[in-house]
Amino acid sequence: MKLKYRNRIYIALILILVVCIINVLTGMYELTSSDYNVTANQIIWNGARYNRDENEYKRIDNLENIVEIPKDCDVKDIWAVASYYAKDDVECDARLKELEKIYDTEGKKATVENILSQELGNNKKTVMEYLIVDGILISSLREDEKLLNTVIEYCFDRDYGFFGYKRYIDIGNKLYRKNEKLEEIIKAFEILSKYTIDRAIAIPEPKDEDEGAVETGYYHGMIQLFQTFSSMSYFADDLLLERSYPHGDNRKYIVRATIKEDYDIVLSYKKYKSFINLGNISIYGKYKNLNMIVQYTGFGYLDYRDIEENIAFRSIAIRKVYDKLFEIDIMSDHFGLRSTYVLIYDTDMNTIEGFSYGIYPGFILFNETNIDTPEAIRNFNTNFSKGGYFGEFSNELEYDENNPLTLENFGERMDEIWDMNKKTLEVLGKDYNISMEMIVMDLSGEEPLKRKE
Amino acid sequence: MSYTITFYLGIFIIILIFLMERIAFFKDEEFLRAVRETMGKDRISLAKRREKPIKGIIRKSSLRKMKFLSINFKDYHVKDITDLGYFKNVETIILTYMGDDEEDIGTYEEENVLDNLHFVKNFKNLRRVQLYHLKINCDVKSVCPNAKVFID
Repeated sequence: MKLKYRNRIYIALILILVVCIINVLTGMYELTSSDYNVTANQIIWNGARYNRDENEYKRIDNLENIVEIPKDCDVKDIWAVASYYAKDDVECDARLKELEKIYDTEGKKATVENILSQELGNNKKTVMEYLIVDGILISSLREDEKLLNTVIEYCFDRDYGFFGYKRYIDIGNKLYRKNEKLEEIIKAFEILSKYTIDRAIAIPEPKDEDEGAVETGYYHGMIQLFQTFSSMSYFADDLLLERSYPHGDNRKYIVRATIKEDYDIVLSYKKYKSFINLGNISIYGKYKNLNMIVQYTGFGYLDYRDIEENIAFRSIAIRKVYDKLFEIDIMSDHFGLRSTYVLIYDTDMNTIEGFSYGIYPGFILFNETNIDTPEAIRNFNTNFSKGGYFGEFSNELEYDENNPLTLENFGERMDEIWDMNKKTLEVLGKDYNISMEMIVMDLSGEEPLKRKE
Repeated sequence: MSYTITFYLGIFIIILIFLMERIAFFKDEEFLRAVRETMGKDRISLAKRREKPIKGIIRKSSLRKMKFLSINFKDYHVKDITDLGYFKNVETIILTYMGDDEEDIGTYEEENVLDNLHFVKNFKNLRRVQLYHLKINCDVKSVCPNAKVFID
């Protein structure tokens, strides 16, 4: 054969080999970073987001300038809530009337689109508008997913890159990033959570079981949607590409939401990560096809089936997720919590790409028949303080009377309390015939435990 | 490309490169033509032409089997004999420029054809080198120390 052919073939082969090596190396990088992915780096407690910082959780949101509404205002009726924003404010009032008209004549989708298609403001009117978006989302959650998809579409903007030039050489400039509207939606959910919980604390019990069911349905819908949007902001904020769904409806989505039969919300998207950069220009990157499952809010019992069905049990890191879910299960049981978890996985490789959870207090208003969270926390503090059932052992079990558990700090301290529970069982279990649920029971009528010699 | 596909593709390419190492690539087209048309079991002889020339890939191992090589530059207008380096086990090399009958056709016009003769320096079995009617520019004797050299 002629020599020049050999040289050309060699160059071609070596070029392909170099691309293969780079691809494999970057792939290995992805596989080995899985331990980070099984830690919940952002959680939600009681309507606020907490980010993990070393071994603690720190709250990242602070609600400012929200309008106080009376405790008996029915939060489920978003127009009632909005009317308190429109009171004494001409601009808000006019806008509210306009939106009510659109809602009555054209329906939910038109109202939501009218708000989202406008430029984002920065005042009370904006807050009111996005409260209305969230309220409509919650009320239509069990109807169909079209409204959810409509809202999500407005949450991402095209990333035109530096000077609008082709910034990403290998795929052009068809990339999307989350925008400020997503953050407004999340803020509105936080405000709604606050209103809902303040009301639940104030109202002692539901009128009847049906009302309790309606309240619970709303509460759970709010929890699940808040978790969906905040996880989308945290995990899917990077560059996303459009993806078409040939087995679905053949449309192109940036993030596609589907609601499963068991009421889990599944978000599907295609995430891009750049590996080789030259200044502002990306030369080589990888895509992942990801699914994010947001579990249907539960009374503590968490469904593990999604993990078993979708994750390949390749690494030991999956144990961490199971341990955390077990912890949430037991703590929810004892303290009457409502919980949901988020699992993000790569649909091609079946690896875990992210994990998060949200926990909320339970109240009698939401048909909490066992014990509601404020009461459980009270009992817990009483039992471990001096004079309480476990008072004598409080030093050993590391309970500090001056730093009691409260509804505000429960989310940050849940892991600490869980460790304390396990320690209590370990230290006192055998000799004193203790079971775990006793820590939250009302034991004030009992004689405190005395240390055996 | 997915991780698994690229991994196997990489392995496949390494095997391909490995296989390509065994193929003989010729720098000079006429030398290649000479080999295709006159290569026998262990001789390449200007006197014996094959019925059908060899087609396709020529492996380096089959060239290493050659013990005798002779080329007539009248029939094959070779410009560079670098490809001689493939014949590592050859014992006799005859390079000549002669006409069909006894007439004298002069010296071969390619002046630099023997420039790369140093490739034969490390041939262990080389015993005879015969160069006829070629322009000699270098000291052939020093290039092939162990062989008898005949120059005409």
